Amino acid sequence: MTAAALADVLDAAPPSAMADTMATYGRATRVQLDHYLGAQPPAPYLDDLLADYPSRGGKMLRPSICIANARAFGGELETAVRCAAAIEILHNGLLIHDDIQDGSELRRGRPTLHALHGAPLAINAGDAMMFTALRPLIDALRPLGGETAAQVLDISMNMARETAEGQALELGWRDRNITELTEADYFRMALKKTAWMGMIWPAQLGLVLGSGGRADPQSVVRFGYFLGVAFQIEDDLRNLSVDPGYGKEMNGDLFEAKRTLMLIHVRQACSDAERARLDAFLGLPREARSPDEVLWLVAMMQRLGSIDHAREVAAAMAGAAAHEFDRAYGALAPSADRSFIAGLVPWIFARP
Amino acid sequence: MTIRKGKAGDAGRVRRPEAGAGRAPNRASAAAAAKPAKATAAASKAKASKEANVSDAVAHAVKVGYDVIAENIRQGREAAERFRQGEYRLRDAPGDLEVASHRLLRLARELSTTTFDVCERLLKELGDQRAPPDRTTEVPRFRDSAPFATVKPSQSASAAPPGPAPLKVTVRFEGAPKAISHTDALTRPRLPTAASGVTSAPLAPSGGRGAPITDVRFELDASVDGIVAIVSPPKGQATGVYSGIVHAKGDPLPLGVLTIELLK
Repeated sequence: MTAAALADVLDAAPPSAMADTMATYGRATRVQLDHYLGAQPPAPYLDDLLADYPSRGGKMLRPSICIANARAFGGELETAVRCAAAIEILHNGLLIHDDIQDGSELRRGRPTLHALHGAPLAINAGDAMMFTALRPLIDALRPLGGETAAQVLDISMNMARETAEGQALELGWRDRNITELTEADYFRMALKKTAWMGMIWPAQLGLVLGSGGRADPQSVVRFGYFLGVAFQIEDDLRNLSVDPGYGKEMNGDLFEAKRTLMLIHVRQACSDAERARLDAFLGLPREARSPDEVLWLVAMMQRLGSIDHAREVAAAMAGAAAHEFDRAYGALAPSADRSFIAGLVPWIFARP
Repeated sequence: MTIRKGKAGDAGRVRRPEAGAGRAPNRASAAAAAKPAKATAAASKAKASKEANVSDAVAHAVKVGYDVIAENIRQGREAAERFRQGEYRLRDAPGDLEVASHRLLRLARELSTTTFDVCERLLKELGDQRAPPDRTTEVPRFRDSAPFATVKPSQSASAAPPGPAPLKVTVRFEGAPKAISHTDALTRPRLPTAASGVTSAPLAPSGGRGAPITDVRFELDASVDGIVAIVSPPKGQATGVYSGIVHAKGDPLPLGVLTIELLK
């Protein structure tokens, strides 16, 4: 089944409508970002850094998920958009830290913040953004009462813990050169590192806000999880393609020895001699990994079906997400926002 | 994971397929979704066998995927249950969590005073509105957690916990250039109460002569501690001292008296 056919089955928004909705919700979120990031008198070495990453654009996927869920569950844009701003500020703060941890040089086509200003100032800016995110969150929660606020804090703290665990897994595997990994390990990492912050939490926040605390935030966990895993696999696949995405380096994940589904598969599929060579490659520092060895690894992934396998698993995870969509959102009345959420599944593969 | 062997391809480049083409599966069965829609007549028996292996591998991946999320949800429920029943102790958590928690607290203190105040105010406000049962006697208060603070000798573990702290009140005047408040605290409501649930009787003038001030409302403001009272005296309101009893919604006992003074 193609993405378009799946969209029909799901009553999902077509790609053009997805783009329009993200643009609309993105604009509304940016107004709030400007308000909250510009609320203080400009502080030297800080506020310019805080405004940098949000000014570079981005798909505004997370804020859009939050707002669409809030509206689908009966909420108002005005309240949801503050929550969306909190998500985006926190996300950008985490990106700053991620770039330092990964030693990344580019973010959205431009030098990373630590490359421009040095790691100490960049870390400080990331810290400030994570705490600045509390302000729009508090403003969004104030009218909702203590019980709902406590529920939001509960799911937010859970997200923070899951995300930190996921990041720790990925960094730990790389830094300790852990090679004996399984598909389950990868799914667990993708759940924690990608899905929780990127899909589950924004959906949960929107659901709680929109329903006034009456809907169960657990109901969207499985949908967000499968959506997030499919998204992560597709992201990893695109990194190996001739068009890895805006501002990204082709095969950059291999230079970083990132533990992707393809890497886990190929290591299990290859011969003993190839595995020894692969492990030696993975044990090198990043700067010592040569382009020739990276090309050898890509060729081996193709030869042993690792890339095809990952592509098929991504499609299957998208199918699981579609299945879980019905369970999470099937009882809601049809609406543009419900169609937008359904449209996220085929959008994973159709996104620019 | 089922492994399949394939033909060697061009090194270094994998072409991104057309968006969505042949990739999104049937929702009825996620595992079956990855199976090819139908085998072409030209497909060889060997190829069909290989495809079947692929489908098995993908079906297995989906099963593993469901196992992972089921395990995660189970762990989450257990953790939530511990929190809800007040059984949670920091020392029960793994060592790395304890270290991480202390690091987070230290980080919060190293950040600007403003952002830290926001966090603490949020925690306070929530605590004021929904105090969890029993935890106050079992878990050290946030501010008193070692090693960042020391407990005074007089605060022994067996000492009775102090009563609820007064609710701070900041009075703001609209339309009255010269006015002061003589009230800076009220009794904390006994039930969870939103700011809009706090009301004041009209502020009557001292001595009973003159018109009362009827426009008094209460709000929360993250920039100040406690609650904010907004008093809007009408234009031409006589100077003098005014006061009114403050109530919380659903509570017959008053929280105190709000007293202000309009100056010349």
